[in-house]
Amino acid sequence: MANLIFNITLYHYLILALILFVIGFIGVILVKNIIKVLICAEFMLTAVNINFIAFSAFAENNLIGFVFAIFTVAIGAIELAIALAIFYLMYRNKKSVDINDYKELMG
Amino acid sequence: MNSSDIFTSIIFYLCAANVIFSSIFTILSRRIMHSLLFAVILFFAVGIIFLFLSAEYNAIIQIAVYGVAIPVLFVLAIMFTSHRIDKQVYLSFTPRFIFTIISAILFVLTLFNILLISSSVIEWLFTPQSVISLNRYEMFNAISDGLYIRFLLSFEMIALLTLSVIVGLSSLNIFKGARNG
Amino acid sequence: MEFFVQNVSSILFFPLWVAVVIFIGKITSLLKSYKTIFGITLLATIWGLISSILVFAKTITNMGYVFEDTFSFISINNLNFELGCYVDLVSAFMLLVIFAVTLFVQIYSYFYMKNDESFPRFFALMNLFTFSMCGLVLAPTLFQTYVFWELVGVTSYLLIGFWYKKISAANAAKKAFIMNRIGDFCLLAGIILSSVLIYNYSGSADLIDIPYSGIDRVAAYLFTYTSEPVFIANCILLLFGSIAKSAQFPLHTWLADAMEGPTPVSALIHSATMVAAGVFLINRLYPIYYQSHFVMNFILVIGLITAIICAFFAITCRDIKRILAYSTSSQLGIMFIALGTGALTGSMIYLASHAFIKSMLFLIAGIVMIAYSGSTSIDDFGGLRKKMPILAGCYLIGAFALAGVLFSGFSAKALIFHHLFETHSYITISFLILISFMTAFYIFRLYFVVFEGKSEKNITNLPKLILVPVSCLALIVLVIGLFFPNMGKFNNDILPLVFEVIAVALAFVLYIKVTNLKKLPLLYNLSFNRLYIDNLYDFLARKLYSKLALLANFIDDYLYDGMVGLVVFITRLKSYINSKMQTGVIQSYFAYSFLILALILTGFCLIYSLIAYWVEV
Repeated sequence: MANLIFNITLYHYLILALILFVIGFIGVILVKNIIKVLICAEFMLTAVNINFIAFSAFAENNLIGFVFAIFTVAIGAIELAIALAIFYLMYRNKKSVDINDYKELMG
Repeated sequence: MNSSDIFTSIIFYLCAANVIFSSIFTILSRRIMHSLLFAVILFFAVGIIFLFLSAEYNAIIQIAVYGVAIPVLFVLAIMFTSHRIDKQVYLSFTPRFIFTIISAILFVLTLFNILLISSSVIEWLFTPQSVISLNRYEMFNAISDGLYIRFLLSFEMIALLTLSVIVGLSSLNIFKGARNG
Repeated sequence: MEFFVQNVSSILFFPLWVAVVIFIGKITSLLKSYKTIFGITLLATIWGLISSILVFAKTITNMGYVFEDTFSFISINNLNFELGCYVDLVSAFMLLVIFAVTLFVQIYSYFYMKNDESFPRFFALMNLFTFSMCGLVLAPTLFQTYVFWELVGVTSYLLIGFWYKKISAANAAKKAFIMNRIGDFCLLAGIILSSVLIYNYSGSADLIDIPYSGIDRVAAYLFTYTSEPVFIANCILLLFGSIAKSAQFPLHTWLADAMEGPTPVSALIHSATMVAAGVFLINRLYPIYYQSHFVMNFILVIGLITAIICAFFAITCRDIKRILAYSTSSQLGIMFIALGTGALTGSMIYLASHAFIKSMLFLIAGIVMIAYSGSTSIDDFGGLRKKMPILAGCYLIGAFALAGVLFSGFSAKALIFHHLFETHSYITISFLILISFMTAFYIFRLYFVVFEGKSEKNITNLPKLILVPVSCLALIVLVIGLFFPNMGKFNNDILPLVFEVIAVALAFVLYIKVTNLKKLPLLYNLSFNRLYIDNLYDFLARKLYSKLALLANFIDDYLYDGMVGLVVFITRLKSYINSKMQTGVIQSYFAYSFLILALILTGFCLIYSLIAYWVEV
C-alpha cells in the first residue's frame, strides 16, 4: 500500500486523467452557461493530453505521445477560437448566455 | 522509497488535488470569472504534472497555450457577453441528467476494468525515471524529429488550419456593434 | 319388364323435367292453365307408378336381382365417385310406395290448392320433391344418397314455408331445415370418416364412395380394422342423419312445427316419404350397424324413447295436424325399434303400411280443416259423422289400421311382434304394447272428438271429387294387408290386440260417456308442454347463443381490436419518445451519444471478459 502511495505509477496518471475527463463530461452536460461549457470541454481535452503524455513517459524511448499532445493542444486552441466566435455571433441575436435559450425545437 | 520518490509523490498529489478540486469548482461557481480562474489553476497544475513527467516541451506549450492564451480568449468572450450573475448549476432530473450519470458510471467502470486487466500485463510499480534515458538535448532532438520530419504533414496541416481560422475569423466582423456598446 | 328396369332413370328425370317446364312456364307466363300443370304432373307420376310396379314385379319374382347403372361423376386418378341408379328389392319397394302415395296426394292437392295463386310453384316443388326422393331411393352409393338427402331437405323447407308470408310458416321452415342440417352435418361427418377409414384400411379406392353393392365388404373393413369406440362413433354419426330426417328424439321438434305447410305437403312428405328416408338409410347401412351390439341397442333405445314420448304428447294435443305429426314420429320410432332388433322386413312392411295410413289420415285432416274454414283446433270440431259419413268411414279404417287392430296395420304390427317374440326381447315387447295402447288411445280420441258429439258449427261445402283419393287410399289400406308376407302362425299376437281394444274402449268411455273430464295434474302438464323440450331448445338456441355472441363480441372488442390498439399505442409511444428526444439542446444530444459510446465500451469489455474466461476455462 505504501508502495502505491509513494511510488507514482502509470496508473495514477491514468486514473487522474479519467477523473478529470468524467468531471469535464458532467460539466459539459449539466452546465447552463455556454462559456462554462466550453471551459469544461477544454478539461476533457487536457485529460486526453495527460493520458497521451503519461503513456509516452512510461514507454521505453517512445516519444510519439509527446508529439501528438502538441498537436492536440494546437487543435484544441483553434477549435476553441472558432467556438467562441460562433457563440458571439449567436449572442448578438439572443443576448443570453443561457444554453436553454438557444433551443428552437419543441422537443 | 527514497526522498526523490517522496518528493515527486507529494508534488503529484498536490497537483492532482488541484486538478480535481479546480474542475469541481469551475462547474459549481456562480460567476464565470471565478470559474475561469479555477480553470487557469487547473491548467497550470496540469503543466506542472507534465514537467514532472519529463515532458518539458509539452509543459511549456500547455502553460503557454492553455494557461495564458486560452484564458485571454475566454476573458474576451466573457467581457463582451456576461451581464449578470448565474444561478446555481442545473441539477433537475431531466433525462440527460440520468443518462450522464449512467454513462459516467459505465465509463468509469469500463476504464477501471481495462486498467485492472492491463495491470496483469504491466505491473503497477513501474517507474519512469529509469526508463527515459534521454538528456534534454536528445529529447529536444527527438521531439523536433517527430514534429518536422515524421509528422511534418500533420504539422503543416495544423499550420494551414490555424491560418485559415485566423483569416476567416478576422473577416467575419464579429464585433460589429461593439464599438458603441 | 326389362325395358322398365333398364330405363329406371326415366322415373327420376320425368318429374324433374316437369318441374323445369312449370318453372320456365311461370317465368315466361306461357303456362297459365292449372289444368295443364296438373296434367303433366299427373302424367309424370303415372309413368313413375307404372314403371315402379313393373320394376317391383321384376325384383320380387327374381329374388336377389340387382340392377346397377352408374357413371363416374368425379374421377381423380383412381378415386371414383359414382352416380346412377341401383335397383334391388328395397329400392323397388320404396319406389312403389312413393309413387302410390304421390299419385293420390297430387290428385287431392289439385282440389285443395285450386284457389291458391301459387299453384304452379306448389306443383313445381312437388315434382322437384319426387325427383329428389327417387334419386335418394335409387342411389347406388352413400355419396349420392347424401346429395339427394340434402335436396330432399331443401324441397321440404321450400314446401313447409310455402305460404312464406306467414311468419309462423317461415319460422317453422327455418326450424325444420336447421334441425335437418344438424343431422346432415353428422351424416356428412360419418360419411367422410367412413370413406377415410375405408380408403386407409382397404388400400384400394373401389369402396371410397361406399356403394351399396359392396356394403358387406365396407362393413367388414370398418368393423375389423377400427377400434370399438371409433366404429361406434362413426355409426352414431351416420345414425344422426336418420334421426334428424325421421324426427326422432332428440331432433323431433321440427315435425310438429312443419305442419304449417299445406296439408298435401304434410301428407306426402312428412308422413310417407321424406321421414321414411331415415328408416330407408338405416336399412341400407344395416350390415354396418349389425356388427355392433351397442349400435343396435342405440337404434332400439332411440326408437323406444321417441315412440313413447311422442305418443305421450299426442294424447293431450289440441291441434289435429300436430296429433298426426306426433303420431308419425311415434310410428317411425316403432320402425326404429324393429330395425334395432333386426326385423328388417318387418320395418319395411310397417313403413309401407304406415305411409298409406298416415297420408290418408292427413288428407282427411285437410278436408276437416276445409270444412271448418281453416281452423285446426279440435275445440272447434264435433259431430262430423252425420254430415260427412264417407269421411268418417275412411277415418275409421285408417284409425283401426294405425292402432293395429284390423287391416294392414294389424298385419304389419304382427310381423314386428312375431320377430320380437322369436328373439325373446320381452322388455321391448312390453314397451311396444304400451306404445300400441297409447297409439290406439290418441287416434280414437281424435275420432271421438272430431266425428262424434254435437255439431255446432256450420261447415262449408266441399267439391265432391276431393274424396276420391281419400277413398282410394282407404281401399289400399283395407286390401294391402293381405299381400304382406306372413311368417307362420300368429300365436302370441292376441296379447297386443287385447290391449289395443282396451285402449279403444277407454277412449270411447272418456270422450263420449264422461261429461266432465278432469286433467291429471302432473302428467297433463308434462304432456301438453311436450316435456318442455321445445323450451329447452329455445333456451339453448336463443339465450345461450346470445350469451356466446356477447362473449364473442367482447373478445372482438377487447382482444382483436385491443391488439390493433396495442400496435397503435406502441407506435405512438415510440414516436412520442423520439419527439421528446429532439430537444434542440446540444447537451442532451451529447449525453445520448456518450451513453451509446459508454454502452459500446461496456459491451466490448464484457465480451473481452467472457472470451478471456472462456479461453481460460
